[in-house]
Amino acid sequence: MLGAEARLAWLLVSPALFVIALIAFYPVFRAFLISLQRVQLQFIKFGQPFVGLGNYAQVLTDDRFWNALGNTGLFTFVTVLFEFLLGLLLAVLMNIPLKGRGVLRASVLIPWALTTVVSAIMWQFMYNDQYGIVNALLLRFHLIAEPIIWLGKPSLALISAMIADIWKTTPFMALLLLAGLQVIPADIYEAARIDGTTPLQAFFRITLPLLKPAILVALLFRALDAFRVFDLIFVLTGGGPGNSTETLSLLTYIKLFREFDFGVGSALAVITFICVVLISYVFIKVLGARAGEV
Amino acid sequence: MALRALAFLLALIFMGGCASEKTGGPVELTFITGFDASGTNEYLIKTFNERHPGIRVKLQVMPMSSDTQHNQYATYLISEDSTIDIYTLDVVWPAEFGSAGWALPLDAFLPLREREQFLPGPLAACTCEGRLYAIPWYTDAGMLYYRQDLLKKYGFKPPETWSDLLRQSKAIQEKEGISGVLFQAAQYEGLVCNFFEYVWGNGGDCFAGDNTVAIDSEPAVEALQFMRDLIFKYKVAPAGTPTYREEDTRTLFTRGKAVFMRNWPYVWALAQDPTKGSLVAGKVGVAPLPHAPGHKSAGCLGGWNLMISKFSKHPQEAWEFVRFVTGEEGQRITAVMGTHLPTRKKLYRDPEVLAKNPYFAQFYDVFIGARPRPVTPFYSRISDILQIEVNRAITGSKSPEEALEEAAEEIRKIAGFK
Repeated sequence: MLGAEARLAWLLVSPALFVIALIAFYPVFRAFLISLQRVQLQFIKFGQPFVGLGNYAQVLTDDRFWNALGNTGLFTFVTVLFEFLLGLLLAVLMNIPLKGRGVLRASVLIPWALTTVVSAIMWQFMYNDQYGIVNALLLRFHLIAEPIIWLGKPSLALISAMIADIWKTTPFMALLLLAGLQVIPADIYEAARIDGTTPLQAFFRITLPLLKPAILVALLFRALDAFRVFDLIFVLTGGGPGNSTETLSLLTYIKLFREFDFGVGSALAVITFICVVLISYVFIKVLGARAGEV
Repeated sequence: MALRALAFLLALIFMGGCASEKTGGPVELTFITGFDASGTNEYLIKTFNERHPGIRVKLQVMPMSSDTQHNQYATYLISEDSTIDIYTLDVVWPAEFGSAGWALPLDAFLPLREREQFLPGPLAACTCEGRLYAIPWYTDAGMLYYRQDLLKKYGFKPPETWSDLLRQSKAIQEKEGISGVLFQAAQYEGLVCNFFEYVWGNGGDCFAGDNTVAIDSEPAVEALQFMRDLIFKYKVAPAGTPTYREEDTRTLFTRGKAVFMRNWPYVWALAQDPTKGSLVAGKVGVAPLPHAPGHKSAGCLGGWNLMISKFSKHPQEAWEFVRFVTGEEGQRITAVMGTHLPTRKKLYRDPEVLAKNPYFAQFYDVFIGARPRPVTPFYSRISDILQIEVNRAITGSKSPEEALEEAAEEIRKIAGFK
C-alpha cells in the first residue's frame, strides 16, 4: 500500500524534478564538460579538443585566480559579518513598538531597493577625490588634510567596495532577522521578566537562541550572494586599481565574455560553484547543528 | 481559446517564414548597428533603397554598449547566421572577426587607388595580415583640449612636447589654482588608449615588427614613468587620476577645473554648450597630443567600420550598400546628421560638412596621425593584461619597468607572439 503511494508521490513530483534537472543540473553539467575542453569561441570551427584538467591546472597556477579568490573570500567574510551585526541591531530596533515604526522600516529598505548598478555609480560619485561628498565632509571637519583617493589606492579600494555593499545589503539582513524576531512569542519575554532577567540576559538567553534558524538562513543567503559579487565591483572599480578588487565572478566574466575563452571561463565557473557548495555545507553543518540543539 | 490563439500565432510565424523565402522581388539585406538617436542610419538606408530598386536594406538596431554588440555579433557569426549581411564593427574587432573567418575579405572590392582617399589609421585597423576585413565608416581619436583664454593670458602656444605640457601646466596651475592636465587612468579600456598615446609619442609600440613583443622596451617604460610622474612627482594631474574615466575628466574640464585634458571628440560640443553645464564655452581649443622631443604625436583611434558577413547570401548587393555608406556621400550624410568624423580625407575640406561642424577642420591634424591599438585577433586579452599592469604601475604597486616586463611575459604566453 505504502509502495503504491510512494510511487504515486514520485510520479507527482517527477515533473518538478524534471524541470529542476533541466534548469539546474544540465547547465552545471554542461559547464563542467566545457571546462574539460579547449574552447576559444572565435576559433571553434577548428575544434574543441579535450584537455582533461588542463584548464583547471592553468587556473590554479595563475596568481590572478588566487588574487581573485582572496579578494572574494575577504569581501564575503567582512561584508557578511558587518551586515549581520548591523542588521541584527536594526532588526531589534525595528521590532521595538515605537511611534513611526512603519516609516522606519520602509526607509531602512531604500538602499536595498536601489538597483546595484545605480548605487555603485552613486558611490563612485561619493568617493570622487574632487567632487565627492565623502572627501568633502572629511575635509570640512578637518579629519583629513588632503582628499583620499578611495578607489585609486590598492589598499583602500576593496574596503571602499565593502562599505558600499554593507550599506546596500544590511537592510536585507535586517528584514530576514526581523521576520525571525517576530515569531518569538511575547509571553516568553514576559515570563523571563517575572523571573527577573535583565534585558541583556533576555537578548542572549532568549532572543539569540530562538533566532538561530533565521540567522542561519540570513547568513547563508548573504554569504552565497556576496561570494558571487559582480555588478557592484564591475561598475565601481572594474576590478582596479591594479586588479586589487577583482573577484571570481568578474574574472570569470572577463574570460568568458571578453576573451571568449569558454574552457578556462567554465573551469572558473565550476570552481566558483564548488566553493559555493562548500560554503553552504559548512553553514548548514555547523550552524544547523547548533540551531538544532536548542 | 488560449489554444486557438496559440495556433493562430504559430500559423502567422510559419506564413511569415514562407513569405520571406519567396523568390523574385528585391534582394533583402539586413544591416546591424548600435543605436543612434540622430536618425542617420534610417536616412542612409532610405536614400540607398530609393536608388537601388533591386535591393531592400533593413535596419536592425543594437544597444549602444559595445560589449553587448560584440557578444551578440559573435553569437550570430559562430552559428553561421545568414540573416544578417552587414555588421558595424568597433575599431578593435576587425582582426578578430577576420581571423575567425566571419568577415568577407574586401581587398578585391576596394582598389588601392581608392584606399588612398581614406585616413591611414582607420584603414590599418581594418587590415590584418595583409587582408582588408572592413571599411572605415566614421572615426574617433584622442586629442588635447586646452584653455585658449589661459594659454593666451600667460603667453603660451599649445604644447607640442611633453616638456611644453609640463612647463605650461605647472605655471598656470600655480597661478590659477586649478589642475594642470587631465587624463584617464582607471583600470579599463580607456587606460590602454592613454597608455599607447604616450608610448607612441615616445617612439615605442606594442610589437616590434613580426609579432615580437616590445612593450617592455625603453620608450614604453619611459612613457609609463612620465604618466606616473605627471600625477605623483610633478603633481600637475590630480591624485584621483588613477580612478578617472572619460566623464570624470570631462566634468572637471568643462567646469573650468583644469588647463589641459586628453579626451575624445565628443567633448567638443559639450564644452561649447553652456546649457549643458559648460563654464568654458568659447574658451577651448584642440590640438594633437604632445609627444616626446624628436618623436611624432599619435592619438589612439576609436571609430566604427562596416563588415560583410562571410555567411551573407548576397555579398555583391551588401558591397553596394557598404560602398554607399562609406563613400563620399554616405560619409557626408553621417558627418552632417550624426556629427561623426569622416574617414575620408576629402570631407575635412567639404563645405557642407564644415558648414554644420566648422571645428572638424581643426581635427584633421589629429586624425591624419592617429593610430590603431594593436591589430590582432587577441586584442581583448592583450588589453586586459595592459589594463591591469599599467594601472599597477600608475597606482604604485609596481615600478613601470616591472609592470611592463610582467605584461610582456603574459602577452608572450598568447599563441603566436614572441
